[in-house]
Amino acid sequence: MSSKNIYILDDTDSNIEIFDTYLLSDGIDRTVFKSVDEVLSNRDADDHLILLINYLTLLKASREEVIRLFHKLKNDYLIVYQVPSNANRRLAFYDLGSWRVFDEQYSLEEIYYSQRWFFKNLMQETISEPIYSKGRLEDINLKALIRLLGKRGDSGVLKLTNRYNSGKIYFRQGFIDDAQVGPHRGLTAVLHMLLWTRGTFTFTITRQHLNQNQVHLSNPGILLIGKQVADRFEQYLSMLGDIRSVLRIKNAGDLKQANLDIREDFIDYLTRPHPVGEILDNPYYPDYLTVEKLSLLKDKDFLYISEPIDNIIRQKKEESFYQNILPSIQLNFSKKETKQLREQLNLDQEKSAKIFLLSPDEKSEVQLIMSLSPREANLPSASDIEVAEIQADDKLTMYLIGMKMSQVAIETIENMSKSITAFIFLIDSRQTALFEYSNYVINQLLKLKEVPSVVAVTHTENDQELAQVEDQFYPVRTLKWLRFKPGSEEQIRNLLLNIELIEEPEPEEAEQEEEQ
Amino acid sequence: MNSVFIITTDQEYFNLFTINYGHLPIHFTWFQKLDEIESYIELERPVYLFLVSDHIEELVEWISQYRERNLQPPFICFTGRLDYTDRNMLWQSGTVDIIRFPVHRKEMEYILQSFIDVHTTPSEQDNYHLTGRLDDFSFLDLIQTFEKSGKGGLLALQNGAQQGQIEFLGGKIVNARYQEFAPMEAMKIMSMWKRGQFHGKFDTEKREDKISVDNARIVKECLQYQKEFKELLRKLPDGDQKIYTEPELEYEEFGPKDRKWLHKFRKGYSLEEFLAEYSGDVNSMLRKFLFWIEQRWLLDREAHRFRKAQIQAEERRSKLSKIMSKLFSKSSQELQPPAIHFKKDLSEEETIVQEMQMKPYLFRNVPLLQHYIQDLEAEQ
Repeated sequence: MSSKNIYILDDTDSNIEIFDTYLLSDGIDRTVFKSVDEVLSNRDADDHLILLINYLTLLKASREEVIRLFHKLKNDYLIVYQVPSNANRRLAFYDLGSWRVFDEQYSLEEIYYSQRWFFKNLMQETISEPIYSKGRLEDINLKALIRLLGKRGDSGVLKLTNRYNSGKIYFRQGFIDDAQVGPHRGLTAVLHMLLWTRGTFTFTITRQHLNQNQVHLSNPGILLIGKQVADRFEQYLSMLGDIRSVLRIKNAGDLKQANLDIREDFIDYLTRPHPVGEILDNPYYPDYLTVEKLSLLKDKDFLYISEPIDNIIRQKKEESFYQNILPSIQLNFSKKETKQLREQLNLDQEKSAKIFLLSPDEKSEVQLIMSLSPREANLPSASDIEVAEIQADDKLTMYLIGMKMSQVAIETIENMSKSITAFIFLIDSRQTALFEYSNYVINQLLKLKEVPSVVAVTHTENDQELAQVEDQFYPVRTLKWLRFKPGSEEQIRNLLLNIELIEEPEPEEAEQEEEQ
Repeated sequence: MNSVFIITTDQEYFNLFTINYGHLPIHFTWFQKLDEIESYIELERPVYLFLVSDHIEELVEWISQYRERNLQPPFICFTGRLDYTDRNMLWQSGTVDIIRFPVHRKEMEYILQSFIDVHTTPSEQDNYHLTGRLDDFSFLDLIQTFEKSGKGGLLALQNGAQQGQIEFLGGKIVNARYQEFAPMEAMKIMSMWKRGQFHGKFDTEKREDKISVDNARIVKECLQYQKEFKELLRKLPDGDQKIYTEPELEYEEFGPKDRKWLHKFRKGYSLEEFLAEYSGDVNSMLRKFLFWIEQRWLLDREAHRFRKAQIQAEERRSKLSKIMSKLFSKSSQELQPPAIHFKKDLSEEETIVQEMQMKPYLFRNVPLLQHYIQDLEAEQ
């Protein structure tokens, strides 16, 4: 196979005829495969290839073959078409590594139109000569960059990017002429970006320059104001607590009556949870004003602050000390089992582990956690997160953190903590309508954190039923599947002992290369 | 980093991109009209224009403006549900893709990622913390950057085929490698590189300190080296002027290295050619050339021609006439070849004027200033 060719995996002749009409008129060669197996046995080149895949042809292969195909071609440009019109199904293919996915609403003609420009570009040789300079703000901050570039007296564009946003500063013979970040321009944009401590920059000098005159201050003047703004910013930020906290508006109805000097669109934006770091780069206020507005909301008690997971566990423990309501269970694993647990969960000398338990339906995970409670207690639901404590032995405490599978959960896990030990996915075999969405969330989480995991399927009578459920999922990596019946200590013990990170088989190309 | 210009009259659409996809390696810039963007395109070379509108009429209007202005970046239409006829019209007008709203947030991320994948070159995925061109960040800028970071690391420099490396430990320069030169010499030579590429990497490796002096001293010596280079160039003939060896020069009296260079000057060789070719300690060579010129072993074109004519004339004469001519010549000076044209030093005033002209942003409208002073005095 070579990269100067388009490959098509489609066993319908009429489809190939349609593609041929367009490919021939554009002078592009193509090779057709009729089955997944045919592609797998012919993929041998190292260069990136472009492969158009008919979903209906994929269906004729086994699930393992399909996963193997995507695994083997993960570095190639895979375009899947005629996928059923369902966003979760499309996302499942994106998660598997597809480059573009088109559902059955797209005709082959339009798929070709939509990819034609990319085909031509992908088949061209790429130029690797750098055309600009780049670095990290951690190494050279914006203050230093402004001084450096100002001293040089050159014109050029300095582009900056952080985790959530990007902006640019236009230099005219060493002076800042204009700047832009999101909708902010001029001095506001410069002051906003001066507060970025992490990110990347690129710079290139240009012969021509714009004369926008949006910034009327000299570089030292800007840095002086920047210093004052930074001092105030730090003060407000420290009042908001941990930068990893997730914030959202509460009592929105009352807030509208309160007549606070805060934009409505900013309040709408805060109705969804966002981590503080992300809110700083909202499109309504520059970061230094955002912290002022957030502090005002916090003061007036309109802000729900969800602390990072470590803080939540600490808080819950403190609450339970007084009220004795933190569900907890003593499992007393044997020495051998504890050793196995530590190995499977990659715990070296750690004294605690944080295991996330996620289910797609309403509060399955809460019920499981409640079942660990020695007494019937109503857990105060101060957050969307429930925590249970499992004592493996006197040296290892495991925290089971229950959340409902949702976009919010994905974002929360992404932002809350780096120290996730494992995932348990709890799937009810009867709720088939939730499978597509669960598959999407599982894949998103597995892509975020490559940690030991297990899928626990409830309400299954035998292994065959378990296999039927498993067959409807397309996880991005191999997972352990388990029949699970909540309610007994033994089942929990078995569940925990089955969490593991399954090693992916080595790509076959590497083996072939070695043989050669 | 890819630049994308979003053309939309509705700021909410622009916000959608910045809120949800700010983490992608894309710079989004918002324009309300297509006619605003021409000068920005030249400056930033965006990889795409996103035309975002629910109204087909607006999209068609923008596309016709795009055609009239002969804009180069490919455009992608983001719009609502259009019927086949409208979509076909957009395809025929050359749109790269049509994205139909609404799109799942995550799916849109994958789609945007596919757009920029085409523009991501392998060099953008490398592991360096700092890469680029010496045109953008000078040698001294880079040293300063490492010094201020207080970190250890490696800075690799490339100037044409020449490659060198500087090693840092806790922000201090501890070693420099370039060909067989000693660390300090290597630093001086590399400090002369104005064009080329650099790759910097911060690390925590232990390194032996092979330069005993501190960074400030190293930088000072590099600056002195650069100053000396400028002074030498000022004293030497213009860069594009051809220089020749004295026709009767005894090459055997020189060492092999010097002989090599003197041979190059035989048929005319300029300093520009020398600087492009030479990769070592350039100042020591320029000092040598200056000495050779003072000794009249190197001549400019006129002097060289004069000497050649003189030699030919001498050859035509008999031995006797040669002796006679030597004995009865009016003045020995008249027979000397004309002096090589040396550039004169600029006066301080001339230097200031020249510098002012290079910095047009400095306010130098003297009549206006005088007028302003007069007005102020009148008010008093």
